[in-house]
Amino acid sequence: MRALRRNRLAVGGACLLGLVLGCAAFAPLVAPQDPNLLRPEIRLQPPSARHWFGTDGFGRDMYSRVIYGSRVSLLVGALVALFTTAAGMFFGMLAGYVRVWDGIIMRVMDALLAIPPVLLAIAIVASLGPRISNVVVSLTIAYTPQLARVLRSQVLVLREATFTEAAKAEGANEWLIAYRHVLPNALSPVIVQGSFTFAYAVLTEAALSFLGVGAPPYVPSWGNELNDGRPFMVQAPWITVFPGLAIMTCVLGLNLFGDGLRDVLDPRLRRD
Amino acid sequence: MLAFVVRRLAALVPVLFVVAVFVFSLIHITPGDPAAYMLGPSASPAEVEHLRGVLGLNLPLYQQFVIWLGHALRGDLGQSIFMGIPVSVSIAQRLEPTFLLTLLAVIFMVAIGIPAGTLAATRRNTLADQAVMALAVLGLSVPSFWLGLNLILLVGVKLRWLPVAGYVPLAQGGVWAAVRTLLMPAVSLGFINAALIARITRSSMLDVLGLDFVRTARAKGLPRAAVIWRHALANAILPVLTAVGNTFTVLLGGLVVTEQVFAIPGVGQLVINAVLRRDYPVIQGAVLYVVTLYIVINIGLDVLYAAADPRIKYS
Repeated sequence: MRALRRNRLAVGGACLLGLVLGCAAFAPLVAPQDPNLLRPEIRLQPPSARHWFGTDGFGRDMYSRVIYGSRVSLLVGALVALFTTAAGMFFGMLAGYVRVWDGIIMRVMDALLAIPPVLLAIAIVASLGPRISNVVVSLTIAYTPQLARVLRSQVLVLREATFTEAAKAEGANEWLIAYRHVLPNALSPVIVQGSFTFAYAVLTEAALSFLGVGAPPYVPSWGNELNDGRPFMVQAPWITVFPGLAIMTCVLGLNLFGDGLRDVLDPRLRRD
Repeated sequence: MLAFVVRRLAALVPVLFVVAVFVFSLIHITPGDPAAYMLGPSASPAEVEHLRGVLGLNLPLYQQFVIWLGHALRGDLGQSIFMGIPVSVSIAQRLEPTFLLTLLAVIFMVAIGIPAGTLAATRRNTLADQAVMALAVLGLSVPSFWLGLNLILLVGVKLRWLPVAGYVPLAQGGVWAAVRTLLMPAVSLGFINAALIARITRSSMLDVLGLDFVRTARAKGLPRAAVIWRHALANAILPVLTAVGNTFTVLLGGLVVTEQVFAIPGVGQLVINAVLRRDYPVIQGAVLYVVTLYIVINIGLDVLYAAADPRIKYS
């Protein structure tokens, strides 16, 4: 933890993330208006003292919409990171420990890895319907294989490690060794990968919403806001500029934090 | 070498089978009756029943799968419900812009990423290095479609250097006209990957630059540029090539979004239109096609490495 605090990347990333997290947590306090309040009489107004980020094609306050958008992105990103880590740990352990399952699980993971995540998510959401929960499900399916792979390779190495053998020699139960010795030691790269998955999920959710197959149209998500602003791009560029900057801030924070985390947790491991 | 290629192709079979199962199930995870879902609420029961018959939805699930897979293996991906033409034809019609766009994006990411990464590695911890790495982490954080929108606004609308959207087919306007329409899409699609390639090139170069043969080359008086570009980069390129292969998933997925932003009539746009119209045969066919393409590209690259580097023996 202290090493993390001394890492400049991690601190910078944490600051950006904190900003986004603060917006999400205190959205009703930070945002001056209801993000869905329609006021056609003030549509397409440029940024001003009253409307910091201007208004969109329906006269909605863009500043409020961008603030509320952080909730959708962080919710989707966090849930996907959490679920992929849990699923990746489960399948990675199973594949690393049970020979019979290894072949089956890894073939399925290989197949899922061969499908571009955006395409996979679009296909699943198209069938299940555009809802935030479905976006989370589809992105979890899309990003679990990477985590399962990382964990499996760790498990395969750690199973043969000296401390595992020592525990075995002492007569410890095989399952106890798996959970008390192997899993905790295999976690570092998984946590690092999880933080990057968070970033990918935020980007992909925005892309899906932008394409109309993500969050439902009435939800103020950054992707939806970009999609709404597209027809007015030339006359009212502020509608597309600010949600984009918000996505960038959030993802940059996650990437920097992930880089810092990687440097601290596992100096040998590089994403590259 | 032949044995290696055959082995790689054989390893494909289970992967493609799982992909086929996934693509096949797409139609069946829809809420309620797939035929009614595809036709929408305005369809009459007779129309729904007809589509059920056409798609074979009244057969047991495993029979449906066997029939569908049999057709797919022979290149028959079914008929588009809305366009009334075979799915394979509609994909073929849209291949040209997609292929050209992918090619340009790969050229862009390699042409920017490798020199930038090399520069950063050779000037380690200088301002140039930090600038390249800062740009790279920024590049990894920009949504490609947002970059595309801004490029349209700046280069297309304000500066009027390039057309803002659309595509001019090769047969209609020649190579330059086609490339001109795809320059901005290629940059916005390739940018995130250029950042990735720059990072990988840098770390791979840093590993190689510390090796003895580089010092030897320098010691015998070779010019600095020759040492870096000929000796060091040649030895650092392999992980970079692997990364280029891996970026194809990002690239092929990004196509869907980029083609939508720039209104390019390619395979990605076909997918989105099919999704919005619930044209399942097209969704299934296009996903299957893209995945097969991705796998073939990666096997091709594997064979290239094996040919390029005699140390690699896949056994």
